[in-house]
Amino acid sequence: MNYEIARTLILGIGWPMLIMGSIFVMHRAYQFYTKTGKTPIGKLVPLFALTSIITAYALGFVATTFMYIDIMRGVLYVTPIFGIWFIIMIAMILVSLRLNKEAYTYNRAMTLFNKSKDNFIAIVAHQLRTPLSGIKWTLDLLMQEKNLSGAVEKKVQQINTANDTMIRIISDLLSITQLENNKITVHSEKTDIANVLSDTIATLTPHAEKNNQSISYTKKDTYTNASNAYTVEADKMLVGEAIKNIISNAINHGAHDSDIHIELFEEKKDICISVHNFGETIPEARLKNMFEKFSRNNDDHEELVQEIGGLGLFIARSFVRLVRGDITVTSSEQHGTLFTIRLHR
Amino acid sequence: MNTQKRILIVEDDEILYTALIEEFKNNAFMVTHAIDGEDAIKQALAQMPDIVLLDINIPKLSGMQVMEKIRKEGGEWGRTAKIILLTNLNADDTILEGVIKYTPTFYLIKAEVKLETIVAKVNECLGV
Repeated sequence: MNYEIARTLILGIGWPMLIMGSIFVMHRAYQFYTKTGKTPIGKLVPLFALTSIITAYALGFVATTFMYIDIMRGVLYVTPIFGIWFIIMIAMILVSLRLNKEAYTYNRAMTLFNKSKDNFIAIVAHQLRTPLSGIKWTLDLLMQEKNLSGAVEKKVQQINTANDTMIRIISDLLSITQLENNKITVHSEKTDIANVLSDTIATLTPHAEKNNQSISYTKKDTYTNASNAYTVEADKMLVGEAIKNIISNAINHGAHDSDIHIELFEEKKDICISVHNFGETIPEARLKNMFEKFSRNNDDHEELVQEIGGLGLFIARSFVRLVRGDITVTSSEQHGTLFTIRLHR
Repeated sequence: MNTQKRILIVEDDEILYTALIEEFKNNAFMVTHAIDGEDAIKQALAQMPDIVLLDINIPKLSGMQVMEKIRKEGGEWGRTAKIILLTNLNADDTILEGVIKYTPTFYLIKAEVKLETIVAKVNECLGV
């Protein structure tokens, strides 16, 4: 047996394979680490990989040195070990490629699943809205009938209110789904917040009047006092919906026969909208969770039922945050409840 | 005698089109009605109504396809025809693309508008 040739073969195949293999393994280990983040296993697996690679290099150096010091004994001992190592390396490469393919297939399946889940929700929302629109419009026609007794008219209005509530909940669920799946595209345009605010107030005034509440609105002067002082680059729809939800909330929870006071003003470089009402004071514990989807204190059955109507605040804050703003709330017996929407320029 | 305003209503749900037809007749419109996309396009090109109320989710051709055909095959009338998209779908990217391309005058969500608001918007479109 020609020992020189054997040694050259082993070193010529072994070292390139070890180097390429170690690069490949470290790359995959790093990907694994970034995907799993700071979890214990996320650190353990790359650590294990690194240790194995260092060991392999160490053995490689030992084997190489051995084969140069004593070529005959070196080759005789190293060859079988190298043979086993070579087979293991090939096996690991094949397994790795197979796992890769499965991971890819799994990823595609998950993406398709999520897409169809979104479509499913959009389709269900559409299906639910159709009969609800039917009820809404048929009630509109019913209200136009002459000779309706007061009793009938009142009942028709109550059906209408309940129907509108259902429609709003579906809209809220749709918004939340889109928010959770990051499906909301923000379309920024020059938006006059003063206009959006006064339009929204006009739309909600009839609703307030049913509770014998009045909405008063003050637009404060700004530093520049230009006509476009309250114009900002923002998504008009998102801002409008957020404002609508906050004011609706004030109407629903404010005391009947009282005033809801809305102010538009500038603070530092931000545009602020404050919505104030007197009514039920919100306890400190609930204030912290006002904008969450579900309250943490769910022992009270009544509390849970209330939360379903609280989706509006969650949506309002999510929308405002998408346009680089935020909403805060304070509430006390003495000063009433105050929501402040802040939009950064 | 005043020329009556002519409206083509494209809607496949029976309860919804019954309500729409009654409301517009009550408001002195001459109303025609199509129940699917193919019928819609046929009637639109033949009648050239003053305004079209168009649902997006209809059988055969979709509302977006009908709008495209009106714009492309409707000649002089089709290019500037007044179209109100009346739908229960939230505007997604595909719909928005169509809206930008074929410029309907309004996009209304059925469940969120009263009948009288639709009439008001129609009259607004017609400059009445």
